[in-house]
Amino acid sequence: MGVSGADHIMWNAHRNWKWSRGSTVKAKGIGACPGKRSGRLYILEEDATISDKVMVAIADCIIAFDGAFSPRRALCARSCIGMLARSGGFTCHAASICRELNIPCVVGLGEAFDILKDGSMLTIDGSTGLVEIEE
Amino acid sequence: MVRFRNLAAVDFTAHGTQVDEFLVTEIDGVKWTCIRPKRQLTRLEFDVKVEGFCQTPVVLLGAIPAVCRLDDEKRVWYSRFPEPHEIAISFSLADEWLSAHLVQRRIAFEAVKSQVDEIHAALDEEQLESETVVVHLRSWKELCRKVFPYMFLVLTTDDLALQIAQIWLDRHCSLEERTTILAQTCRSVYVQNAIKNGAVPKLSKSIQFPPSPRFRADGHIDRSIFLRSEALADLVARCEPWHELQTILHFTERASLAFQLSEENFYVMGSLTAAIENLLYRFATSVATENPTSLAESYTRLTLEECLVNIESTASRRHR
Repeated sequence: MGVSGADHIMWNAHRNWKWSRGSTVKAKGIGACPGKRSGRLYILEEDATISDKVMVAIADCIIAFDGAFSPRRALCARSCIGMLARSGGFTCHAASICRELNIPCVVGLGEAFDILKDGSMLTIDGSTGLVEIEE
Repeated sequence: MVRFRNLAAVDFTAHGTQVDEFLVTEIDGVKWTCIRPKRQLTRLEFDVKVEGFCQTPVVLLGAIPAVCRLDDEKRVWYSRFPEPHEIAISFSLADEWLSAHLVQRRIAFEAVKSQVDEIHAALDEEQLESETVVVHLRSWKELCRKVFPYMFLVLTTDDLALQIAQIWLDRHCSLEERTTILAQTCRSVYVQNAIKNGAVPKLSKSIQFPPSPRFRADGHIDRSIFLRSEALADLVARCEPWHELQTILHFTERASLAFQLSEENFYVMGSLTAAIENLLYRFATSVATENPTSLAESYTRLTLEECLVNIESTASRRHR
C-alpha cells in the first residue's frame, strides 16, 4: 500500500491519511461515535448474507464495510463492538445507528480503507477517528 | 467563503459533503446542478416529485420557481435552485423564518404519516380496488408537492449546520470533547424507535420491486435533546466569555435540529415510498399472477397520469 518506514505519511483525495511506525499502521477517518475499542476486524462484503453464523462470527469484532449501510448491515451493528466505513460523515446513517447503540464508530476512511485486512487486530477511537492496525 | 457578522468564517465548499454528491454544469449560460447524482429516479417518481422540487425556492425563499429535468441516467438536474448556503444561513440565523417553516413542515409531515397509515389499512384489506390505488397515487403527488420544499430545509445543509457548530466548539474543546458533545446532541427519536422496532429501512429512496417491507416512521422532533448532553453541560460550566457560550449553544442546537430533521426526512419519506411500492405491487399481483414484478416495474416507466390510465383500464378489463 505504499505505507512503510517510520513516519511515512500519505495524503489521499479525501484528506484522510495513513502512516506507519514500527508494527502498527495508523489511519484516520471521522470520529462519529466516541469510545475506544480493540478487536479483530470483520469485513462485511456488500452482498454478504447475514446468517446466524455471521452474527456469531462478528460478535466481539469490529466490522468494516464499503458502500451503503443497508438494513442487513444495521442488523450487524447490534452484535459488533465497533464499526468502520469507507464513506460517510458524522451525520450518515451508519453513524446515527452507532450513536444510538453506543458503538464506537469511525466513518469516511476513504482510501485508507484499503489497508484494512479481514481478521487483523486493530484499535479504533471513535472520538478522534484514529484507527491503529497491528501488522 | 461566507463570513457571519462577528462570527466564524465558513467555507461552504468544504463542509464534508463528498465530491460525488454534487455535479454542476453550464448549458447555454445556465447553471445546472445535480444533487446526489448516484440517486436515480424513475419517470413516475420524477413526475410525482417535480412540482415539489420546483416550488422549493418559492416556499423557502420567496424566489422564482426552479426548473428541474431528468436526464438519460435518471438523475435530477436543477436550475435556479437555492444554493445550500442560502438556506443554511437562514436556517442558522433567522429564528422567525425557521419557526414559521417548521410549523408548516410539521403539518406536511403529519399528513404524510396519516397517508402511510391509510395505505397500510388499504393493504390489510382482503381486496384492493383500483379506485383505492388511484386515490392514493394522486395523494402521493399532492403530498410530495407540499413536503419537498420543507425537506430542503436540511437536505443539502445539515452538514453545514454541523460544521458551523464544530467551528465554535473547536474554540473551547478538544477533538474528543467536541465529538462527545455532538454525538450526544445529534440524536433522533426516529432512529431510536427504528432500532427498537427492528424497522431500519433501505437507504435508497427510489422505488423498487419486489417491494421493501412496509414500516411506520415512529418519532418526532425533540428540540431539547441537546440540553441533555452531559458533555455540553460541562462546557457550559467552564466556558467564558458569556456571549461565546450563547453562540455555542445556539449553533449546537441548530446542528442537533438539522440532524433530527434530516432523519425525519429519511424515515418518513422512506415509509411513504415503501407504502407506494407495496400498493403498486399488490395491485400488480392481483391482475398479473405470472409476473407481477415486471408489471409493477412497467408502471414506474410512465408518468403519473399514464400510470393511472393504465391501472384503470387494466381493472376494467378484469371486471369484463
